Amino acid sequence: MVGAVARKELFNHLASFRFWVGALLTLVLAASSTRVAAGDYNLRLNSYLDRVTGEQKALRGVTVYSYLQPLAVRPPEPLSVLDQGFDAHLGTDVVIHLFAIPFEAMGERRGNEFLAAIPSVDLTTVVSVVLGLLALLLTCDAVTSETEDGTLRAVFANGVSRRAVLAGKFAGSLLAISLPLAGGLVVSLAILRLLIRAPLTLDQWLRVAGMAGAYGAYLSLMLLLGLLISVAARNTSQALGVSVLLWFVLTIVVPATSVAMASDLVPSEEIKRNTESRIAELTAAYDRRLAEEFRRAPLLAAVSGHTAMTFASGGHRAVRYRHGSAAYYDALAKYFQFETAAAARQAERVFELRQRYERRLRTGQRLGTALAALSPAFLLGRLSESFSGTSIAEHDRFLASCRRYRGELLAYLERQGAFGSWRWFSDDPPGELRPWPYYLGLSPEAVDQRQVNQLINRLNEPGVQARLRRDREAIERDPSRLLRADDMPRFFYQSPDLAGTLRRGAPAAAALLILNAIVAAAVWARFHRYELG
Amino acid sequence: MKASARSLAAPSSSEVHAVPWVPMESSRWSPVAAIFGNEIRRVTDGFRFPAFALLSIALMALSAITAGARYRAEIHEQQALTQDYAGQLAGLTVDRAVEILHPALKPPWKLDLVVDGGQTATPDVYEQALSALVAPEIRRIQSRNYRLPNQEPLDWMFVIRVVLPLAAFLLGYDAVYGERRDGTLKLLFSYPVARWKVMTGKLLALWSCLAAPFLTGAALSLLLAVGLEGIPLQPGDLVKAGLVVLLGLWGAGFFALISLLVSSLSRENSTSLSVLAWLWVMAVIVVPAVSGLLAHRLRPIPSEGETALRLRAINQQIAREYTGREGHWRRPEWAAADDYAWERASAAAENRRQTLEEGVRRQGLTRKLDQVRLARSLASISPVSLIQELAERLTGSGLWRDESFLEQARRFRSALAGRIAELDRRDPESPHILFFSGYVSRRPIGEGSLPRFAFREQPVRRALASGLSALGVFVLETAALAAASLFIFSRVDTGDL
Repeated sequence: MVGAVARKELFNHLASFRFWVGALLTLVLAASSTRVAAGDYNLRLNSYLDRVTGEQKALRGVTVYSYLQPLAVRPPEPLSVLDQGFDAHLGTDVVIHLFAIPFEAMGERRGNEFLAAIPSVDLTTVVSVVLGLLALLLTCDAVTSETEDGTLRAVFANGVSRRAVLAGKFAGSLLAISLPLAGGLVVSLAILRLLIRAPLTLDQWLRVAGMAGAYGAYLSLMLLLGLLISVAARNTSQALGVSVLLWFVLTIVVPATSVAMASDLVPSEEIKRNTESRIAELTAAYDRRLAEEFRRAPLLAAVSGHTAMTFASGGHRAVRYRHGSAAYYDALAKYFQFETAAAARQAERVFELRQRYERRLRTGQRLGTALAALSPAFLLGRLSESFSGTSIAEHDRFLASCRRYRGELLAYLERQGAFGSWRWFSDDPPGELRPWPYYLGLSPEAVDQRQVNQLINRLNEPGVQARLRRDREAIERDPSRLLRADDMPRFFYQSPDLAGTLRRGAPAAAALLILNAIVAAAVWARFHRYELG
Repeated sequence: MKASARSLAAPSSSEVHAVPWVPMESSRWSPVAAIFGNEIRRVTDGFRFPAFALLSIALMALSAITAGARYRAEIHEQQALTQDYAGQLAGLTVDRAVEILHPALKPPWKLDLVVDGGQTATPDVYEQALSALVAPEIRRIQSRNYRLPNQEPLDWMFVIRVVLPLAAFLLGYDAVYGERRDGTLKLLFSYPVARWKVMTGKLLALWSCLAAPFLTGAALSLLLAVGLEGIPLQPGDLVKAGLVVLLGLWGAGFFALISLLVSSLSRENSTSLSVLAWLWVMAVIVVPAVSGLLAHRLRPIPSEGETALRLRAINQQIAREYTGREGHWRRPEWAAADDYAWERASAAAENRRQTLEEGVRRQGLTRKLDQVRLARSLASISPVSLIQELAERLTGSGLWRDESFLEQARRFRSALAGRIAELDRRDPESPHILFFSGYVSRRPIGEGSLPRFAFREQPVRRALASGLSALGVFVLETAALAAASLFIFSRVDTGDL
């Protein structure tokens, strides 16, 4: 019974104009968007590999501990080709260092910020908009048209039960819609497989299967909604009108409006400004304390024969001194011990403040999600993002792993005794110090304070300059100056696994399945009491 | 079978009303008026019209509210930046002025509720320093909540582009077909009324049903914006908003025509609505998305890797040209001994480097803007995108505003450079190595001596002029559509199904 009804329904759909238009649009959009996204992915992957190798090389050239600031990079996610998610506008690089706890990622802004008004399309959007409309159109007149031309009465007269009719219609439509869905998936996966450099792992294939399942659950919900409209409407015309209106509101209006409201109506500028000013205050106070501490050591406060002649500074308070005396370096070591100890506490305080702002953003996110949860298209988007690994939760996971890595790095530095040693700030070998008076034939202690400026001027003499240059070149070429950080812990980003993505996508999946059940029950209840003509 | 089908059908809306009556006597226009009245009743009956009216008005009101919130937030952030800058300017010396970043701010777009055109996502701060050692920054001050998916803000164009066409299609898809099915069309055409008058009546009715909620929404939206949200709209802005309202009304008419056309052509009700729904998907989603994808492929923007490579090449070139003489800066007291010989060479090298790097940056920006221009032109195949393009040009939003901002910011830097150079010239003690901190005048700059950046929006007349070509295309499209509809409608057969 059910089989016969289903078959008839399937053939009806395959013969209809709307089905073929929808199928064609799906295939065209899926193919073109996946093609472009795959090309993009390859570019991103190349850029990622470049950055990683560049990073390795840079780390090998580091000579002092304060310059040891590894870059944690998140590799691009292959499944982002199917569902772009948040990947397009979130960063992927985090510099790990002592002075700040990672709270945001910098990096590749691949987008064209001037192209905001052109919608971006990926397979998930195509499924939710185009196939969603097709699903509604297929079933919305399933019952009304047959009622109108009397075939339904004939079917019941033949002894087919109501349950069988409903089940058959649903099954037939599900089969029909699964054809363009499968087509779109096959085309996208073929392009994915052919174009991207790295083959997919088993785990990734399983996640693709999860995405397919999500698409199926969504389309089944849309089919059921269409059936509900068909059973409840007075005639085909009304059924069609309600379907298109419902699709429009659920797929287009609700997501757009709820995101707009959540982003504009949850004011976060106040908190952001407060946070920034508090952080600025804290940083200023911290800088003042450090400056005080620095000035306290007599050797550091004034230029003397002991002062290091060369000073280089890099990002995040990386420093490198050369040509200082042992006494100077001892004073510096004491100062930097203070600085690094205070730094860890400062980083935590700043991080806490930033977390306050972050919590406000999360409130906005929760509001947006709550408002948009009415839309099955939005739920599909969430679920599919979880599976493809491009959700905001994945980004959070990346940042959390960066923070864990920072802990490991700090522990490593602690073990190496980096913080209290000369190696934090200088690569001069302890046995062969060459403080600057040495180039003038003097020793640091012999330099009189009043003569310092004159003596420093003498450093510009060609002979002295030549010796300095020779020594500098020797320093640069000496491999033993390099920091042997081969046993340093490396950053490793665990790509999302199936279990994790299931866990993260569970709420959206549950919502979709519950909605399916509710609407199915409503259809059954309504059809039970359906009056023919 | 067909007769019984009709009797089985539940009463449709047009059967409830009497057959359209046409007064035999009286003036030329009252048949149209009668058809108009009848059609209005037919369209507004049922749930479709109230649903769309409510949706349009609610969305336009919401656009005013959210635009107001965004406007206030942006003003706040920009004020903070302006205050910081003003603080820096107090007691500023020429020496310090060359190394600080001077911001050029693009003010928040007041007509954001009408036509956003991407203005809430494009950069609005262009900070430039005069020194070649400090790189400029182009960024957006107010960052949106990154935890929410990227979404265009709500504006009137969302209603005009997305809601109005669908409303036109849903309200008009059975304008012709429905009457044909119920037999009233035959009766209508049997009266001695020219067919084009019938079509005009139907068109006007459909169009008014679309226009009334739109106009209400626009009025409510403007009231909310000015009254409640406090967006300071000037008369010029109101004129621009008025232009967009006109454009919306025109668009409503355009889509109403399409509705009538498809309704006349189709043999079945469901075909008519399906075709219109798919047309909507094609016009609003597929064509813009595909044009974006094509633009992405045909005019790719330089990747970070590419830019980094070019910057490295520049560094190598400078190293070659200035072999070892770049990058030497001594303390001014020591350098004065040989009249800053090293420093002049280094300055020349750094200035050259900056020129080359600026060239790379500008090329990157130009390529991004070219990509947008191509995407826009390709998307204009869809009348919906054409309307968006027109709206942006007529109000001076969109790409124009961004390009103009970049241009004005660059001119601001030139003006600053000129002024600082002049101030430096007046100081005989200065080494005059422009523009490097430590080697220019140490004199303080008086209050108000430096030019300030003030962004000039596009005046209405220029806006109109820039939109002329797109306007011409749209006029042609409308004319063609009207002619086609008239032709089809006059050939509509009223025969039995």
